[in-house]
Amino acid sequence: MTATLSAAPAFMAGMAEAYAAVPEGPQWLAAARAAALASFETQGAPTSRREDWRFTPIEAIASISYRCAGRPERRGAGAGKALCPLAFHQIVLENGRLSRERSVLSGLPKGVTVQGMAEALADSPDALRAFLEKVPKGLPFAALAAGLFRDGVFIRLGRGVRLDRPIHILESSAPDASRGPAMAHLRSLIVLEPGAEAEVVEESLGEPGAPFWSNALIEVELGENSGLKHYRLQREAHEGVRSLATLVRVGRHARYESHVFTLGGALVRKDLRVTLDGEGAHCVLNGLSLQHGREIVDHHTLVSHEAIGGTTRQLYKAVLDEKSRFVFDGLIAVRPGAQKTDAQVYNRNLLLSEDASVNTNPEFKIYADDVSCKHGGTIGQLSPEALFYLRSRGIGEGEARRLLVYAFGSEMVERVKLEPLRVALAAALRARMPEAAEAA
Amino acid sequence: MANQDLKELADREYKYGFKSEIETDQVPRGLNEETVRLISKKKEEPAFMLAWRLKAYKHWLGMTEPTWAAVHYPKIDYQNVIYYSAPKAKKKLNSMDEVDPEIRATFEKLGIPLEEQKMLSNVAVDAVFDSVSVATTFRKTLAEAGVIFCSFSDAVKEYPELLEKYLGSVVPYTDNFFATLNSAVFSDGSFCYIPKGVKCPMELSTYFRINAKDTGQFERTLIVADEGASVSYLEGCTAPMRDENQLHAAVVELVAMGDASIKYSTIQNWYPGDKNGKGGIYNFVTKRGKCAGARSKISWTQVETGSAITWKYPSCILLGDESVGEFYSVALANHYQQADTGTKMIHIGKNTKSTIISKGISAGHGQNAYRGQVRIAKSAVGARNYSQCDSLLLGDECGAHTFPSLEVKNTSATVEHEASTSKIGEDQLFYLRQRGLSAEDAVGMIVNGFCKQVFNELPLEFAVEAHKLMNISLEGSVG
Repeated sequence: MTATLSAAPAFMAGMAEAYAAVPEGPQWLAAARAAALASFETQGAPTSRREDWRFTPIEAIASISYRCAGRPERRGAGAGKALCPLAFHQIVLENGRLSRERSVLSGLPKGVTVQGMAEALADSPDALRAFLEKVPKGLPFAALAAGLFRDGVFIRLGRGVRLDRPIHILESSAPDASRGPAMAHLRSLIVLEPGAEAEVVEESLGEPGAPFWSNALIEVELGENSGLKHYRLQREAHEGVRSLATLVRVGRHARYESHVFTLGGALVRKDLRVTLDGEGAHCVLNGLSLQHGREIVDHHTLVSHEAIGGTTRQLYKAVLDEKSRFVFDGLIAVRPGAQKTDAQVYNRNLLLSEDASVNTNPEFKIYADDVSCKHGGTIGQLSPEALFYLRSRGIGEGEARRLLVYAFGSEMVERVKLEPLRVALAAALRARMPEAAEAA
Repeated sequence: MANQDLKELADREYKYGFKSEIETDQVPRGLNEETVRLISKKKEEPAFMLAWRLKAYKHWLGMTEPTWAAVHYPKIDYQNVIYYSAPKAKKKLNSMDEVDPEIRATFEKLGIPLEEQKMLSNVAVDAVFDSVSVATTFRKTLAEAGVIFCSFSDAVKEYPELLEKYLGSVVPYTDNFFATLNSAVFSDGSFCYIPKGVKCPMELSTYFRINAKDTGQFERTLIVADEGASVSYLEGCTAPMRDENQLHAAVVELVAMGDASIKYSTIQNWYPGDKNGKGGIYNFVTKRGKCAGARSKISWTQVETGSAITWKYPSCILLGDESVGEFYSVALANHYQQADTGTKMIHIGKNTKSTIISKGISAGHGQNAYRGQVRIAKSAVGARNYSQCDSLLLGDECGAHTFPSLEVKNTSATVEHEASTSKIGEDQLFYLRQRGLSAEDAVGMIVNGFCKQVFNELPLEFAVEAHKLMNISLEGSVG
């Protein structure tokens, strides 16, 4: 197997080494890793010839050979730069591995587990077996993560437990410039037992230095009547590449709310698959991407309505400047029998530059009749009338543009109900504005 | 709603299922270079046509059948198809009276009274019976205006220079599996040329009809509107009941020069198979228009109620500045029909505009997919697109799918896409029923209302037919 892994494009070169470095674990885990890698090999590394990777120029990184990331040289990389307020429960991963000293997990209420995945596997491997034995289908990089992960985060809330404060997961990457391009594979798991409620802020932060590729697989399991608010902020470094697959299963009357803010990264590919498999399951998917330079952000979302009365509300927005590109592929699948499904998917894009581009595919596959499904996509630019209106009221052109772009993006920020986070996000949004305005 | 009604309606059979016995002249089953040469020879084509067909055939050998569409069908054996079939050559006819009475009787049954249309509706009909034009009316009237409207085989002989210039200029022989196959073996079709500044004095119309058993129908239509010209073209079809699936791979090419406009309307009612999904036409069509000049316009309107499988994406290449592309479609999939249809709007010129209105109706076990693409090239400054795709579901075993793709590479573009999927509201049905309408009429009324935006685009005669067709095709799906 290792031989085949190394035969792939350059960015696959370090995979054999990564596989060799995988920590020892229980027998079943070794088998699961092997199965995941076998599944990756059957699929092959994605290329833009594959329909679901058509607009993701994966070739851009194909010539970079990544090595496994070591521990960061400097202690506390990215410290103080996190957007998320400090008062939360915090678990920190540095270059894909748990940093005990920076994590603050002492005040966790009873019935709540927050651990590094490696730790959790050492403590109670059997509790994880049912989850980690699953191999994700049709997601090559997720299969790779399942085969090669060294660490990750494990969160579990017992029946009916409500968290007092949100949990902040900080993933910082600080590649060592002298060692060259680095990568980390992660696998995380969030389990909410029936009736539990939590807010999780997942923040990834890249330091410049060398190209860093972070490849993660996250599974979320929501029991009956549970609720998860999942906030995800991402600011990779200039050369940062991130591939992230999130698989969510939403149980009966459970609620999943995801807010994805993408504020940087050379190539970002996010696959989000939500399965609403209990009656009345509900999901809200919000996203905002602010891009400039040559940044590429690709969101593939799939919401599968498998039971009666599921609802989906999805809105993804993107602001594109310079030569950036945004890809949105949002599929709503309604399985036979999933009657009373109510789904709405919207993607709205604002182009600020002649060279930016957008590909958007909101899609339906519907096999039930008593449903109400809507989707929409728009691509446009700042309205000259609105600009004129502001200018006629004495606001300079640059400022007027900033105002309008901010207004477009702030709709997504407003949806964040966690106040300290909302304030920080609004500030981050403003900080991204001037560049956008000048180039336009 | 009374299930009894539903069942009754569902069981109603294809109205136009009959077949007329006419002697036909066929080439042997199967496809090889010899078949292509034979077809070309039978049609007495000039050398450039044969060369073109052979290039297409050779290219086709290296192609694989596309599998991306959301349609499923048993593998087609391309060697088990008869690629050419023509009613036995008869002497040239001067009037309708000389047409084979059986063929005429067939047209009568279909409700296409050639003579009546000649007098009453002022429509010139180029009736294609199987693969060869049998009768062309109004040719003289058109000739006075300078409009050329004739069968493809006549055009090859009479206007080879026009054909050589425009054939394959929109859909090249390398385009796709089915279009390439068509390029190699197409038997006949219509050719239409509207000279500069001429507004075609009447609506042009062709009725296609598949007849001889096991005959693939490979039509090719080419319409060229020169600068400032305009034309409205109607295409409609019905086909008789058949057990074995029949292959239909047509190509339609439209060319609109500066300030020209072409309106192409289709009612497609090929045999859809029986209520168990047995039989029916496989309809793999490549339709594309090129707005070559500034301010040109191409408008596609289609009502797709037939065929077991519909694979069809009428498209517009908006090359000229300020050119306009439109696509209005109603697609219905009942029983076991599968429709994968939509459009491509490719914006290249400045200030180009396109509108897409697609209405999909799924009933029974029908599967209906809208697949569209809007591409705004970097050069398309100020391009605009509006797309709307609505799906209506009648019954819980059918499916409605939407696959739009928007690609924008120019910041001054405005692109909007909206889609919705739902079933007929109980409250709407209740409202109509309590006012004394039967369940069937109520559904018919709601569905026709749902399709109104598209029907409004059809020429009057077609709009009436479309209403009726919709009601007939919906039979059995009320729910």
